[in-house]
Amino acid sequence: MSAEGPLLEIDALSKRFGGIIAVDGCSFSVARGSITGLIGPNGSGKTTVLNMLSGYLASDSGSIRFDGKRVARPDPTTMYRGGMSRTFQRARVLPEIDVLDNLLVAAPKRGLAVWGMSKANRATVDYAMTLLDEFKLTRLTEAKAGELSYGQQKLLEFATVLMGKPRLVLLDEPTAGVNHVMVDLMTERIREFHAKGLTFLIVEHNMEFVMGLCDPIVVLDHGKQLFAGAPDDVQQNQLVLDAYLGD
Amino acid sequence: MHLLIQAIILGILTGGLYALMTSGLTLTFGTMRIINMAQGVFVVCGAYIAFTLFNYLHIDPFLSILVSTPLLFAIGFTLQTFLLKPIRHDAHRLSLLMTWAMAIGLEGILSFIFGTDFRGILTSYQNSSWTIAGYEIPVVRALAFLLSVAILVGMFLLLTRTKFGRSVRAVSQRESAAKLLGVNTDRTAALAFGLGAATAGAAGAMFGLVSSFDPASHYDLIGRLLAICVIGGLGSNAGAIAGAVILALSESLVQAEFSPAWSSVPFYVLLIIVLIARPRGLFGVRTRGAI
Amino acid sequence: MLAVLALFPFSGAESWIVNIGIFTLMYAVLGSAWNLIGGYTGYVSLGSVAFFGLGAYGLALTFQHIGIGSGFLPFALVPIIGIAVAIVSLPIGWIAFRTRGLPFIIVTISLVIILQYMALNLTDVTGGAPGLQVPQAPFPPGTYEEYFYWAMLVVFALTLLACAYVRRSRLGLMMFAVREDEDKARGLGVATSVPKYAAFAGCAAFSAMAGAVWAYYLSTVYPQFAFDGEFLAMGIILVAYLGGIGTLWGPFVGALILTPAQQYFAYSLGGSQLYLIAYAAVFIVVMLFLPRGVVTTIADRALRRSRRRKQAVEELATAESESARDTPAPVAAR
Repeated sequence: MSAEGPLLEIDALSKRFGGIIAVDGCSFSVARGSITGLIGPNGSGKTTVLNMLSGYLASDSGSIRFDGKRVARPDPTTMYRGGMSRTFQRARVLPEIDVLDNLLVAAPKRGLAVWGMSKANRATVDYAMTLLDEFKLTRLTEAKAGELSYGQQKLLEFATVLMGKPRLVLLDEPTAGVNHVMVDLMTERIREFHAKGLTFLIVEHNMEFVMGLCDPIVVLDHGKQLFAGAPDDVQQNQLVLDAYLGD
Repeated sequence: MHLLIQAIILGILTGGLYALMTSGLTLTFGTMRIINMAQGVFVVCGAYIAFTLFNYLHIDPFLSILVSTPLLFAIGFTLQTFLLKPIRHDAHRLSLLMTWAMAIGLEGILSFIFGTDFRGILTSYQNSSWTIAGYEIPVVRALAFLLSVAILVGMFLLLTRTKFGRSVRAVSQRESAAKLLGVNTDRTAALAFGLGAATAGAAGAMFGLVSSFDPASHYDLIGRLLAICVIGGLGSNAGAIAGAVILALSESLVQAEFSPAWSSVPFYVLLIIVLIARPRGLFGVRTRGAI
Repeated sequence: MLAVLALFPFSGAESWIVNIGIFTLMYAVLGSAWNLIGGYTGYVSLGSVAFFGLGAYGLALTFQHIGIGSGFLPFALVPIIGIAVAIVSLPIGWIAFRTRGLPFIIVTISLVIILQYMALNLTDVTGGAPGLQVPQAPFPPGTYEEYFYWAMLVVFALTLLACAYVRRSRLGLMMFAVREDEDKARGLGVATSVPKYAAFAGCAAFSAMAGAVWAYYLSTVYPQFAFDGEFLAMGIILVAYLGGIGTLWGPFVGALILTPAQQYFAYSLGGSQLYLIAYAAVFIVVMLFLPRGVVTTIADRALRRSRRRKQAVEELATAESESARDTPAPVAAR
């Protein structure tokens, strides 16, 4: 793993939907080993950017560089295997499947091992149980994911995207609809994994959460970058204030 | 060359009728996200109604549309209310079976009432045709085409100009939002289903004029209508029309150049080509799942 | 579990009962095979009929062109035909998988229609509407049915084994993931093509084997019945739903209930009219009152009871509770 340069670099990314320009020449970068925040008023294109990064949406133009290498046409599976995973704005889990299996399915298993008799090897199961423990979901190991409360599903989703031992995790509004005890749990986990070398890009509306956790923070407005900097700078920047309060 | 153009004319005329039949499917798919396997049998019902009215009351089939349309609307509305609404929660999978059950049940009822012999509606002008610019235009098909177009235009106006139409489009695009806006989605679905059945009823009368039918004819019919939807793009009205015309044209051309037995072949070949090249259909919308 | 299969050896039952048994097992095979693609992977397919027909015609054509003797040897052909049809199903699957959901269903319907059409019209190869003949098996009249019963039982056992394997293996987990949320699964690094093709080919293989045995049993293969989209296709799905899609024994239970009922209707209501109405009525009743299937409903109830017991024990044992627990949210809409 090269220690040079940003882990993720976006250059002039654009996307339009019919008459609406969702993302308009957006550029920013995510430094290796950072917890970068991505904020902006509603409609600024944050989730669309995330969708393009993770391969769920094709961009109209612009480039994406992950770990220095250009990714021409991102694809969810390839990005995941390449070390980038993401969560969704509305937590997506596999509802009719056990919580544990939700994690096991996300573990990499290649080639002929797919045809084996077991769902996962011992090491993978152990790792999954560890994650469940860290996210305080051990009690629910055998429950169907669909039976969990919304907050628990968000935690589960977070745990799931860590199974592949990614290098970059994109979190899409992780605190939306979640009570503050769980928010604290999430914050703890983010810091913990960050300390182990994981890079985060977090899209959020919850300012307290973002300001307390992320540095730097990128601000989007109308589909392009408005400003990027440390939390204090962002909070005092006139352009940012205008974007949020004005219009 | 003359033969070719003649075949094209015939194809377009028949295409209009198919388009009318398919429009009901598009409407149902749009509002309820289900495939109505009973659309074929609704058409056949319309044919039988026209047949009965013609044979016993000597009412011209084109006029009997005034009867079959409301009747089939009522049937559709009722069936939706009693059989489809209860399974709304798992509509995607169960509705396939449920509408198929409706189709078989109706086929059974039709067989019971009318028997299983093939029927046809033979009016006095059955075989006459107008001659325009040296081309023969069969009266029946021409009238069917004109009427189908008229009904389709009527439906278009209904969908774009009326409150009901707006409800339908709202439910098609985003049901949850529509509910929030106060649209009675259950009733809209029922009305849409009824409307789809009604158009099938209208088409049925003309269908009965154009070909012979028995209660089991719906099976062939639904197969083609569904394939039309795939080629045109499920949920797209323009697609339904395009697909219908393509089907009718290809059949007509093959029938003229080769033999009737192979008339369906090019259509299914086209289906496969469309699936390979553009799986969402000619006018379909790409829906690959971000959110 | 599988040992329950040994429950079926039987003693001196009348031929017509054995006949029903054969068809019950056939529907059980077809329903279980369908389960692979429809129940586990979530891709509702009406196409297993197409592969059933291909298996039937496969056997008949093999008889025609390669003079296999009669007797037991044809049974050895059955698995070979199964594998052959599975291979053929791969390119077909490739075309079909260009779509998902409702368009996928329509494509599989079209497949059956196309094949029926071909069977009717390629008369040189398939004998057209009168169908193809298969030499009658030289089994003694008294026990004629039993051999076919055993054959179908073996096919069913194989199918059931495959389903059981799927349910506990990684491949099966991948299939379930595809069913639950295919795009999310892709985002979790799941190579979704693998389970999809495996399920599709598996369904094709077992359906074809059932078709081959069926062809040998009936000695004639007609296009309308081999590629019967109308009844067979829907019957398969109904059987799976009635029993409970996604369960192991569901389709078998469904077949057990439905096939004798179907035969009864066909027998007593003979002419197509009332038979159709009765059939439709059964469909409707099943869907309105047992939408999740017999086995699933029973399993759910048992599971809920055991959970409640477990929960009570837990609550008594632990004093600790997380203070700010969310109240359960409604299940996320899809």
